[in-house]
Amino acid sequence: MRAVLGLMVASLIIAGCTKYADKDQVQQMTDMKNQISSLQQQIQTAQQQNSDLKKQISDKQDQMKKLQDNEQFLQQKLQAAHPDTTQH
Amino acid sequence: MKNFMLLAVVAMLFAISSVASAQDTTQQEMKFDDWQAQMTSLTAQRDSLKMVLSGLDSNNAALKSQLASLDQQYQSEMQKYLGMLGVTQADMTAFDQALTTLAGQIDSYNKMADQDLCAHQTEVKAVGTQLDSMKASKMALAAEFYSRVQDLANSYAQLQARIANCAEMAMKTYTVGTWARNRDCLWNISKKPKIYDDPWKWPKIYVANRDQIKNPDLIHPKEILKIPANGPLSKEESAAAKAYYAKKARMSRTGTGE
Repeated sequence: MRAVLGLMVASLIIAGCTKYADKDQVQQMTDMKNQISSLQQQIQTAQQQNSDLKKQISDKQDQMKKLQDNEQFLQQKLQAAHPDTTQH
Repeated sequence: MKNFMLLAVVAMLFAISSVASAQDTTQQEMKFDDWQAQMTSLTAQRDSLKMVLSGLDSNNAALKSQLASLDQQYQSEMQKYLGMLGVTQADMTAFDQALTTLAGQIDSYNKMADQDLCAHQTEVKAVGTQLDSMKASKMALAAEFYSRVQDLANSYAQLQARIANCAEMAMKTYTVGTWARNRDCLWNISKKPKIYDDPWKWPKIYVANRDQIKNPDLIHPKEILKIPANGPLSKEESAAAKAYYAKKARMSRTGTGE
């Protein structure tokens, strides 16, 4: 009889003592997931911006190269047209 | 007593199941240990993403700065280039547009038939004057325009060559009639008021039509003769006349005829 009662009390204690996350903790986890999702989007945007900037830099470098070539070309033509003058 | 014990067991089981089900509904089956483990993992993921984002942001900031610096260098180089030409960017744009317009005009004149082109000689010459003025500009030496200006000059040269033929194309023609009815020979044709009003200019017609007149004394009805513009005899025409009269004189001396 006592053994049976003891078993019952023990099982009641075991069932009642398992710890679960409360509402605030669950909310905390949801917030964390949202934060991660937002960070992932920001990274995607930053990566796109990075790629755009690299392209703009490359284009500008090409333009610069072309402009320098044009300067050289003009200098040669001016020199040929007016051999007495020197362009600096 | 036995009944009491049975009742107590049933009551206990009911109590256990009630506690368990109450916890199920409020905690959405997440044990604290699981929550803690997931939170640790999510926090690590968040921190790692924050680092990646921070790295990207600083990289982007550096790239923006590089781009701004390049922009500045480009503007400075462009000012130097424009300075060499002695013009502004607006002048360059205007030159570009003027070249495009000129190219369109030259192209349309090149597509014209000779007759139409000759009718537009004055306009074509005006285009040539404009092209000459553009060629004289330093901008014509700029790489952006150099080959375009050269191409236009070549196209215009073709137009000029065609226009040079306009005088020849404008030459009148005369269809030879019969001797019996019109008394047409080079001498008489040249004498006509509507032609030269001067018979001695017959060599002009002869020289202009040498491809079809082998003997100046012999022209055929329905032949279409080119009539060059009036004027004094050219050297070639005078020489042709001289040769003709010499031959005639020789023939009369020898008494031969052709």
